[in-house]
Amino acid sequence: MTKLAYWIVRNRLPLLIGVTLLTIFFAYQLTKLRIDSDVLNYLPQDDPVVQLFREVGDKYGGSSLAVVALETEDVFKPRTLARIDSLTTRFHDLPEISQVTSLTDVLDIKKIPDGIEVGKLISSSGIPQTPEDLRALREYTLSKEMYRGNIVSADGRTTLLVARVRDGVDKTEVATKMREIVESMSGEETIYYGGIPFQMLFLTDIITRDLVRLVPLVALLLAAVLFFSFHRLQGVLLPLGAVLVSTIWTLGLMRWVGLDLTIVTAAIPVLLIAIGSAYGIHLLSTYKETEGPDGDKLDHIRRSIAAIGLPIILTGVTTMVGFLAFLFSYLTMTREFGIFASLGVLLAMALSITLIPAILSYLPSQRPRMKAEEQRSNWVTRVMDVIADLVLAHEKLIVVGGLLVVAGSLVAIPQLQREVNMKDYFKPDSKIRQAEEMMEASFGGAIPIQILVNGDIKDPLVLKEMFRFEKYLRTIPNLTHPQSVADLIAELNEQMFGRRAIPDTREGVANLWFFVEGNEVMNQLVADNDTQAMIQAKIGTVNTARLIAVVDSIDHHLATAAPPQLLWLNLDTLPTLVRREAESRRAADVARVVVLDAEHHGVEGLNFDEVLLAVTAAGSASDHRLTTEQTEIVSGAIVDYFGSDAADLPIDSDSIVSDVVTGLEPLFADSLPGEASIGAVLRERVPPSAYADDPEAMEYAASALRGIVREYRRTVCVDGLTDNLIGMATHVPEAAARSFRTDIQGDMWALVEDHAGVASESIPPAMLSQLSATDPVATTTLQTGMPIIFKRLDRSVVQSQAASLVAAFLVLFILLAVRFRSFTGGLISLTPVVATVLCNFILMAVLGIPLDVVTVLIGSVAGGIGIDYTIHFLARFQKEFKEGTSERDALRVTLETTGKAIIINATAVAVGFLVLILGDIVPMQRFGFLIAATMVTSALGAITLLPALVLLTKARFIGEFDRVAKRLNHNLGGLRISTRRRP
Amino acid sequence: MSLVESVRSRGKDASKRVDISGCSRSIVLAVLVLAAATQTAGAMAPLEVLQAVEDTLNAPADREVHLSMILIDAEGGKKTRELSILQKGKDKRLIRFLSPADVRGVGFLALEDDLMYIYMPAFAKVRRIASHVKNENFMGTDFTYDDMAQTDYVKNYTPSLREETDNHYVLELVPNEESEIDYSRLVMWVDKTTMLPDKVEFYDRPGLLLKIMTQTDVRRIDGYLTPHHIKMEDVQDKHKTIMDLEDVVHDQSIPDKQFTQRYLKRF
Repeated sequence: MTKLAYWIVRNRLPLLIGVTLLTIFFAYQLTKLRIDSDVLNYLPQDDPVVQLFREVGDKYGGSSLAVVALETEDVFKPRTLARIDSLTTRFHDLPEISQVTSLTDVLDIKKIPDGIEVGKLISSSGIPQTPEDLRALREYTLSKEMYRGNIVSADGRTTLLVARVRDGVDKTEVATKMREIVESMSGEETIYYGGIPFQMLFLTDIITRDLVRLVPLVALLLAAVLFFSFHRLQGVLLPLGAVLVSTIWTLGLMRWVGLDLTIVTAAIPVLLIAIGSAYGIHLLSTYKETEGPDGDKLDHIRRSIAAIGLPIILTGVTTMVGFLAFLFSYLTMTREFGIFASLGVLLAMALSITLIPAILSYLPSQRPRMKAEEQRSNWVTRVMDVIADLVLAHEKLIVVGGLLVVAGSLVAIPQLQREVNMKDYFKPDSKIRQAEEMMEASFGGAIPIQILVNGDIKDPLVLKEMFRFEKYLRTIPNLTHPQSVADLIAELNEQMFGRRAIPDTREGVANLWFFVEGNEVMNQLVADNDTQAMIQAKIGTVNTARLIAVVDSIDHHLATAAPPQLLWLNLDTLPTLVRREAESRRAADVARVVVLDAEHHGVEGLNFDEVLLAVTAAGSASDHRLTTEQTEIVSGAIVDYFGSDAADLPIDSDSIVSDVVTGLEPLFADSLPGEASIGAVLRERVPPSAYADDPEAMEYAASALRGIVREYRRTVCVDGLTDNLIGMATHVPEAAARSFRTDIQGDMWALVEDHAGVASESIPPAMLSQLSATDPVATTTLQTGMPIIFKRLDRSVVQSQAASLVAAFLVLFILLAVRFRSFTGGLISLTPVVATVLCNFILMAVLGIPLDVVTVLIGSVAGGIGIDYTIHFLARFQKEFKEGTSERDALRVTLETTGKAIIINATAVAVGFLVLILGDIVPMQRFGFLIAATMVTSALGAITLLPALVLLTKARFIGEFDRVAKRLNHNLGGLRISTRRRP
Repeated sequence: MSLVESVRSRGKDASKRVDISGCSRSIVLAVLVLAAATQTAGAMAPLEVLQAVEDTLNAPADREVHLSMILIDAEGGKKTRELSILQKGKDKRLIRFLSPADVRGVGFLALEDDLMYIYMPAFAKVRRIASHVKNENFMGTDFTYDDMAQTDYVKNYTPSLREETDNHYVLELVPNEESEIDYSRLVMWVDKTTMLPDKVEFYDRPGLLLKIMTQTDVRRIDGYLTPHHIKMEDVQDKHKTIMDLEDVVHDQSIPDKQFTQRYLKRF
């Protein structure tokens, strides 16, 4: 140490110049420092969960959604719709945005007489202007589950513009641009901003604001504390300068190695100023003790360094250990924090024992002003004496108190909540938080979750499986609006052919698919040449525990409800036994889906067994006899057919048509007739002139007529089953009645289809070989999305907590055991900080403060800083005790000197951290408050629990207790003896 | 010159009417021919140029084309399909997909007055498509239903001459109000020798370039000039559609009944 002291004094000039130059360099780096608030960047990029998330974002045009909501009395007015339209267009023009969904840019599939309209719900050129048109649009939009509560709130007051932000772009920048666009177009609507990109933008804003406001405040506070202690300008400027320079170096270095500030590393400036000043203070006060007008100033400096250098280094190293423990964290940002916070401590420590003496050497010596301080310290000294008395009288009680803390923490720790969602970073009254809450209440949240399905997506079996899975998703609490290509196909099928279901043939799927192919929305639903599809849903909660419950129930379903390997076959081609098996499997599947639909729509009274019985009891669609009424309906349909442009046989005469119908009636009333028998009737009753120039017309007509009958028979069957099931329900909410019927009807169609899934093992081997062209349908399903990332973060918070605490305390134990050359010494000196960490958990549990990415740091940081008090205390106690005083006297002296210093130091640090409460980032507020609390508890622990333990255990590393005991025998009752030392 | 001016203004006025009947169109044409005859040099009025383009495109009484279509997405992924197009006059068109297998037979019929039908063989049913759809992309291509269905430039657009080069007339076409077209304008490069557009730029409503169509490999088949390589590129979505014409047959006297729902189902 002495050598170092000499070296510092000798090289003071180059040292000063070097520090100045480096400070200028790092200050320049500092100006380029940016804030990175992207949660995804906080995670290790090689984690498969993160990689999958990025891959999905890449393939489907981005995985984060920026949401702008417009709120007004009624969004269905021309001005609001026009504003939505221009916002949509301008957002769409941003290259970073792959897609915008809004009222004026959403795929709408609408039934029109004999046909279909597929296009935008509202096109730019078609914003309705008249009240009637607007009312009709409002009614139509709110009637569809696709829009209601998805892009327009059910009350029609709020509407969303959802922009999909491409991956790999600066999300904050996109959000800024979007906000500028919105602000450039004034309107009467209230605007909300939501989704990850806007959360990031607001987070960046408040991190910046906090830095600009809080750092000067902490510096000012520190200056006040310093002035209070030293009463002179150099006492303020030197320690403050040392921490400021070390802060500039640390942040400059961060930028220099290419890192941005994160929500966690943004705490470094306040942190360094609060804890880094201690080193300068120690050095200055030591210097002050020896300073005077007489003697060699440089010699004073050398002696000060030699005296205090080692303790400063030791306490600095333990603090660094507390931070370095974060190297074991899973989170990249926490590791960065650990590295740079400990680097900052190292720099503050190094600069305090080099820069401060170097500057001191150029300053004139000053007379110590002891008097004022002397008077001030009297009352502190008295408090310390009271504490000493307490410890000496109630050492066992104090230790019991310590045990109580341990017991309390055992209860408290399992109660600890965890929160990793970004929303929680903002104060409840902040705009972004209000936006998220509005989104949750009116739109089922803004957090998307994605489920990837790998397989041949155009296979009806795969799509049916997806459709069924979505019906399951709709029943999960806090999950809304699942959407996929399966919905789109079912929607097209419903609007075109009246059945909300997936067609049972590949051609059927492909025909419908073809109709929407190339549409923008498809880029979000399928990828990889139609071998992968995405089911996207929204999560209506930001509570981490509930979020994880959603993720887990999806995972559980995926793991347990995986379908067996099935072949999708035409039932007519199968042996009766195999066919029966396939039909009963199908009936069970249908019954399960009916139950899910009932659950989703709040329909009561439908249980699986009864539904299964009902759907199994239904007869075949082709065999049963039609009633007279039904026969008339089919006849009417045939008459309509002949009257339409699509009729294959041009018959102008009504009498011939009715003749044909009369001939066909007996055929189709009993069962489904074949084309041949229909053709025979036609040939018999239609004059040959009608098809003379077009001989094929007859065959086409027969086929079309058979189609009409078959379609009708199946419809009768489906409708009968649907009515039956709805009749079985004990309660159908009125609002859901129509959608429930549509859903159930769609489910029933599966029962009358030609194809069904057949387990390959139930097919006779001989037959299987003939079917070799058909491969079993294989799919795999994976879940991804922000909620999974949150789950990952959540698990990592727990892991980080455990790992960093274990690492920190292990290293601290080794350091202390070495320092005191005793295993017991290491253990005992660790107890106050362990108690502090446990107290912290109790406090968090009691106040309901969750563990999050920031509060998870408290344990190790508190350990690293708090251990200093233990070291100081024990060192002094050991010294006093070894110098021959009794343990009581030693305790008193230690408390009056070091104990006092500990309390002052802890108060100063606590006040520094309390400044964070004034900030806007909620985890930072909690961090500030909790660290302040731990400073107080660890200081108290060091002056109460620690001596109580030492006294109780009579630990030998302190000294020979027996020796003192012998002496004390002469002096019993001396517990109350005052041995106050006068200086 | 004043005659040309009057023709031009007349053309504009006429195009603003709800509909130009065949009769009034032929009057315009007659006046145009007259105007052309009285002109000294080769300078043509914009409307004349556009009319000439339309006439060239619609010169054959009917046309049957087999073509292959390649769709290329932003990542370079390709999809190929084959189709046949049957066209009669300006208004009747029947498009039939021949491959891929699972959409074989899907048919699309476009008739006068924006009447459009689709036939799906898997359901053996014809469905009408609402006219709103005409500004949407057709079956995954970069052509809208409207781009595929008609070539009524004179009826739907008001042309102005942006530039005349040695080889091209560069026209700017602004859609007429009642045309319900979603483009804000078109810029068309008309080859002076063939009177066919080599290149057309389509601009979206906010005025940004949306698509570029190029037509090359012009061959004379049965006496009619026909571009055989047509490329439509969506510059915003970076998606391309390429059509290569294979068999082209003209003037087969295709009967009108081929363009009915009844025949749409026949496949």
